[in-house]
Amino acid sequence: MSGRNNNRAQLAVSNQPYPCADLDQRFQPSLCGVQQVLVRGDSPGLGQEDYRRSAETKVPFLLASLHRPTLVSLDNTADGQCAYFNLQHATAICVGEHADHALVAKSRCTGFQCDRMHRVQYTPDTNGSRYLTIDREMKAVIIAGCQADDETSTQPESIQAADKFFNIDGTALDVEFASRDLGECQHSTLGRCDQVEWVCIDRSCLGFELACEKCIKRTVSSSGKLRFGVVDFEVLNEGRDLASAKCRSMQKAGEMAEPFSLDESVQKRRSQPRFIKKAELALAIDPLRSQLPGFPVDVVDLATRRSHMLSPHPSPQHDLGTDSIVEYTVASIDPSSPEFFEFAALPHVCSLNSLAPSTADVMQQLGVDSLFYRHGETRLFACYRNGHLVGRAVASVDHHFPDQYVGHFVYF
Amino acid sequence: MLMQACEEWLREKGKKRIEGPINLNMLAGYRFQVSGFDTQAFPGEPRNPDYYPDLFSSLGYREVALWQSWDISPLALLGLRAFDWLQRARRRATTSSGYRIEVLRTDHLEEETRKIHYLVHEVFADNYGFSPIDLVEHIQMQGAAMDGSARVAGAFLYHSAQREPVGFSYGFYMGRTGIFHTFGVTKAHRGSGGADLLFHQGLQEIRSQGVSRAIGALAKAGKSKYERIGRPRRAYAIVGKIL
Repeated sequence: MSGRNNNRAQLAVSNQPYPCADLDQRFQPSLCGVQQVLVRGDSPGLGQEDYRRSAETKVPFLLASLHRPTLVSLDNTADGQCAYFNLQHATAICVGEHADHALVAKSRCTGFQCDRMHRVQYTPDTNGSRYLTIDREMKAVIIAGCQADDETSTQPESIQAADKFFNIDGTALDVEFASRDLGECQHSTLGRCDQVEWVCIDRSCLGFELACEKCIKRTVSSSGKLRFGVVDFEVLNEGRDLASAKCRSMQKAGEMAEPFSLDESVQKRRSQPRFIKKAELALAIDPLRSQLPGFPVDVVDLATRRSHMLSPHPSPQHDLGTDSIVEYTVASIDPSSPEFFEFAALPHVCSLNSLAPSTADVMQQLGVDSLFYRHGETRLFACYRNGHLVGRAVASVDHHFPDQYVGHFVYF
Repeated sequence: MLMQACEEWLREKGKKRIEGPINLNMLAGYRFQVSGFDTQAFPGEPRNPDYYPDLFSSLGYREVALWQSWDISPLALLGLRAFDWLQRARRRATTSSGYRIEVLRTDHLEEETRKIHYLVHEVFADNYGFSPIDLVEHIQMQGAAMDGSARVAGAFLYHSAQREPVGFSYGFYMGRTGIFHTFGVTKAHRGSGGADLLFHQGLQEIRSQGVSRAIGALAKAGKSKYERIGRPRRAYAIVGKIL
């Protein structure tokens, strides 16, 4: 997918806030229905006349109610038409297709056409800048465009602008991308410019996090452990003005930490609306989110109350390395239960999967037909984080083992 | 939390110690890696995230047993061959005593497993974590190796003068790298030159395949043939804790 590729883009944003469109189109985090979509007002970086927007999406996506002055969302599925942008100024653009998180990053183009059926196309006057096309039907498109002061804006200005861009829009895109199909966990690198690297991090059920090296230290937060993307990057949630400073680490491409998950999301994988609500809730209850500019103050309390309503027996624990509150539970799994397959199929660390016991092996060795049970016993333990299976361990007792005072653990 | 759950259950079962990881039986896999994470993994190597050692250490687990692997460079491999050449007189003595080597058919692993099943019990009886199992369970434990997904190569059987198998060895190939995986001679025949003979066969095997690099894999900490070529690059451990 195109989103997997690295792009380089110089980003520049306008700092002006833009009013929301009609109130009935507004999505208020944790309050509104998932079919509602916030559509932002016009951006000076985008043409005033020739772009379309719509509130009713067939595949809804969410734009959190934050100040995102330069974000314009489109829903091309609503009318089946192309959207045209005529940009008045050199503009940095990123285009995300929320359903499968394809994204186009573009530097300094002055016009392009967005065709829902196949791809994003740039008009010939793009000066040969790099871009990617999305070679599939686009269900919805989000355009983040921003106006540079002039075409000769210096690199530091671009970086500063990018900083602002992500401060504001990263969170929103995070939620938008969360509406993808959870059954296909993929990672994407959105792009990078010369000095600002920004990555898209698959947070599994939570969605994506946008970050840049420069702004990480100031604003962008993340909750939970991350599923790491296809490039090396620095984990977010590190900075002098963030609550947590524990989570800074470099991760190599392909490595995977525990996927972040929300309660019931595993069972509801195919239920996007429910998931979106969950993702939205996660966004709201992340304490670091509230530090983002424009985040509604009252949402945190409300969302927290809702989270307790959703979880009748909450036992929050602090996730190691972050200040996010997550719930871990350990449960015993019966080898004859339906959950056993998921237990056996729990992935190993990505880069080591080829060496890990296969699902079939685990099922054979631990399943009810295992010959080990003729002379041994096991107890299978599964660890859930907010309802999502994230770990396992097996305790075993072998009655033939020479030292009968010793029991074993395995498949940790 | 997972380990606490395991420990609690084992306590209920009357156990005084917890050790692992052992995939129910050492024949199905055991140990985890404690060093050499920057090296390329080889088939049959226990691999895990590099934070495992510290994690288990923080949980109170201590090393119970240690194994090591050596990455054998082309130069080191030449050195091993040279040393093997120097051992030719000893090998002659071994073979003149009636010992001989039989090549195992790696394309019929189940059949060959039947041959070495009892041998495994004798060879590994003193090994850490060994627990006797019958042939059927042994075959089930072999798992992936049996389904042909692992390319077992260079498997040899060491016979005594009475034509009974008393040792065996096998390895793998990983691209252009040969993996010396397992050697074993029954207790009664240790010191007969069987290990040298089996190792010689392994060297000949990888030479015939044009392999210039090798890995001396998973040797128990202590005296090893591979010590001649330097220090091990990787180590693996079983850890344990008093309950």
